[in-house]
Amino acid sequence: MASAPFFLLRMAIVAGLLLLAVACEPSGQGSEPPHIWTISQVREVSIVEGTIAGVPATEWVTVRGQPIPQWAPPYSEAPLLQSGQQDGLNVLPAFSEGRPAAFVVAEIWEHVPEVWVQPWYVLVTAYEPSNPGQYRLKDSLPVIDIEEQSLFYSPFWEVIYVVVPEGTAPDRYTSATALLSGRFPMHHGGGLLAPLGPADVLPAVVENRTSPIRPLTGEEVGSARTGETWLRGQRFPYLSFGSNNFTWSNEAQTGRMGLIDEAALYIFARAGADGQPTPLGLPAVLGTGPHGSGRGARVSATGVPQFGALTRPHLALLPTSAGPFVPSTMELLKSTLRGERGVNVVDVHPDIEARADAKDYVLRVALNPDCFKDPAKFPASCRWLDSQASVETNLAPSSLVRQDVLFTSPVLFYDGKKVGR
Amino acid sequence: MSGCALPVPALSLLLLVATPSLAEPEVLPEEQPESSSAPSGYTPEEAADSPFRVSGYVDVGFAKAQGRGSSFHPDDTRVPADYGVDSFAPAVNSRGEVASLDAGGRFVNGFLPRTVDIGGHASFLLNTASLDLFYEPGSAPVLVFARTQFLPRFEKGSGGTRLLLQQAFGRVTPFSGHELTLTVGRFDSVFGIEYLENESPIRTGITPSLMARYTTGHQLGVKAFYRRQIPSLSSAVSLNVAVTNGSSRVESLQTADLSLTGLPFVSARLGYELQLLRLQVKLGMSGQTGARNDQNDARVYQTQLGADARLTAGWLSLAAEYVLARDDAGTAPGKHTGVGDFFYASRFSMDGLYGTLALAVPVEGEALRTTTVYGRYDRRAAEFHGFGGILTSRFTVGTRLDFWSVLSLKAEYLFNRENAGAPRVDNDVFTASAVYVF
Repeated sequence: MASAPFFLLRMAIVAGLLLLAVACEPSGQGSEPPHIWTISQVREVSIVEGTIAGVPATEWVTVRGQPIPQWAPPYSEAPLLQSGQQDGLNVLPAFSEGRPAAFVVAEIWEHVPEVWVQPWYVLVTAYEPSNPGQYRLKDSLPVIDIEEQSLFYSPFWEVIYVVVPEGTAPDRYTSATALLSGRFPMHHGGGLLAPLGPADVLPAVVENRTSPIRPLTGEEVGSARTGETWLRGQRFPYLSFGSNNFTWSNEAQTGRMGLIDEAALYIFARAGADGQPTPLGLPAVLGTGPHGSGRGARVSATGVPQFGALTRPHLALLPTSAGPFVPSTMELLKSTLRGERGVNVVDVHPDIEARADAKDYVLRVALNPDCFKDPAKFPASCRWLDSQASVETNLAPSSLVRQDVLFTSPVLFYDGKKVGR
Repeated sequence: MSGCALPVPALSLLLLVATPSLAEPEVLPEEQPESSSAPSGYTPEEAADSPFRVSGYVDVGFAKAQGRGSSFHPDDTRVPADYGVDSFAPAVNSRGEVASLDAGGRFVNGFLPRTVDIGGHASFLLNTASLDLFYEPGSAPVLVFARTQFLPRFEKGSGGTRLLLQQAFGRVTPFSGHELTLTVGRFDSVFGIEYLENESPIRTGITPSLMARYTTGHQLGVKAFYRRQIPSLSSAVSLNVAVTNGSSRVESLQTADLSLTGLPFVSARLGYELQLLRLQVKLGMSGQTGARNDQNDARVYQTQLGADARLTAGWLSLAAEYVLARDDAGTAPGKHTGVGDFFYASRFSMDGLYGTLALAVPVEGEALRTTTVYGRYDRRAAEFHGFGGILTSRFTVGTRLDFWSVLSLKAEYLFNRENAGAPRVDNDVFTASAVYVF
């Protein structure tokens, strides 16, 4: 019989082997890792015609000289091409608060639940509250401190004016740490939406045109401007979509301080042959707050919507009776929707098509599309799905399927007006 | 990477442990393992015949930190707030608790110490009241040990008063002639050397080094210690191996209480000792690897390597340690530490070192037995992926007076420096401590 010490040692070895057996159990969650698809990456995926979050990247970026999907069949008889000078962020038509809108998808936050505001330092030699940029240090670049590779990267910046001494060399301060260590006076400005990205990707511009336009209606929409910023001593290009076009939380007590306020984005879908919801290619509905929040639209004094720059897609499963407003000039789209996508498309009465505001209804979805036949009661008799409130009121909660994705989605057109430069 | 990748070294380590049993038992000098858990370092004197023993200590402190008591710059709005600074720098006691963690409400992502929340105010503190229970029957080579610690804290920012079962384990010494011990339970780390000074009575100074957060946490699992004397060389070699739930990080970074991934963590230290009459040298190499125990995916690894050296010559002692750490990024949102749930386990890399020089002069006084002066230099370079690296350093100077072997009075000053990547802040600390043992 073995002695006690040998017995103990054998027990230890047996215990060790048991541990090994446990360790060999299949482990890991098998979930997709969180990832931020930056403008550069979305373009790269688009070039190879790959997908992001199950969606072809060509839906969001069109490389130079290629057909823009929103200006190609079945939406347009003849495809229009992206300008050969630059790659394009596709302008996506939408409706918001019952009016036509448009946006682009610049970045995709896959499995990333939240986004924070980060500081964007602007050097000034004096601070004038009524015009904070008035005394900007000549030739200086803004300074940031977060890389695109970080999961804490953000295109949502809070502008902070740093008062440096007169005569400071424009490249004297190229890092946030140097500014903070310098103990200069700092003044908080508003928000700035500026994704980091290559200088040759801007909102899509159709060949031989000078500015981006909204598909379906052809109205001019806003664009962006390019610039450079310091990131720890290195220059990085960015794309600015303007200021005061988003909001963030200041709730320090709840730990939510700095969280960007997201808005729901409802994408109409129908169950496909495999039973999975399949987007129908209709204009989305841009919400004014998180799904179910009841938050109203916040618009700046200059008419810039302060929502929609960070959106959370929800697939909105349409009832079979619902249908979009498709004018007779879009016969190809009409047959595609009826055939391939199984959508109820009601012919629009000619008198309605002749209305001056008919373009504002193109591809807008109504729960009762039969209202398109009655010029006398149009549009009042239509139960439109063209705002967050109407979607959430008229569709069952189970029909609104939250996606584990966020979009950086600058709004370029809202309430009939272009937004941004 | 599959969950089977790690156990191969684990198996090797177990075989290493098993090997001595195959050899003929040798008669070796009776010695405590240099790094066994509870009774290492601070071990009260033997009591009478009873198998039960009780001991402990009370650590009362006084501290004053510069500025707001934290490393957070008041104008810094970058997030996570704890990625761009070293929030562990303004430590005030031997537990590594800092004066403040007030980040102004900014988002933090769980790379934080615990705090006593005194901010920039001077304050007395009851750092620790510690109670040790031993059970060591004469009939078996077994030690059962539990250490309970009372940590009175003001509720507001510190998380409140805690009662902590810091260690609880059983240790078996299976061979009377061999320095081999097998321990099961919650015990000290086996990585490096600083864990030997976890408790304030045996720490020369007051505050832990900037490396302590990586090496001095407690671990729950099994461990084996083996040491072999080589009398002809006045030397000894030792191996300390642990298979545990998590790493040697402190509990505010990673919990020891359960495995969040199901994959055991393997740690080991190989040591060499040279024991001469007037000179003692101890060298060690440590390593550990396993799944990060602050997230749930067993495929997300954390690896740490270290080297340590100690030299004692007369009144002079020198200790130095180098640590290198690499953490993979989590594969899903969610980070879980001893102080809460956070957003995400970022990819992380760090390397750093510290060196301590102490001069302990015996005093022939009736009450005062030893006077010690010491200095330490720490340096730490760390980077969270995508956030930019930071380099910080610290000079610590202090003195310690030991009375009657029962009371130690200590005082030290920490000069914290932000060398690169982190904004300069006022976060130096003066701290003092009176430690009574019983």
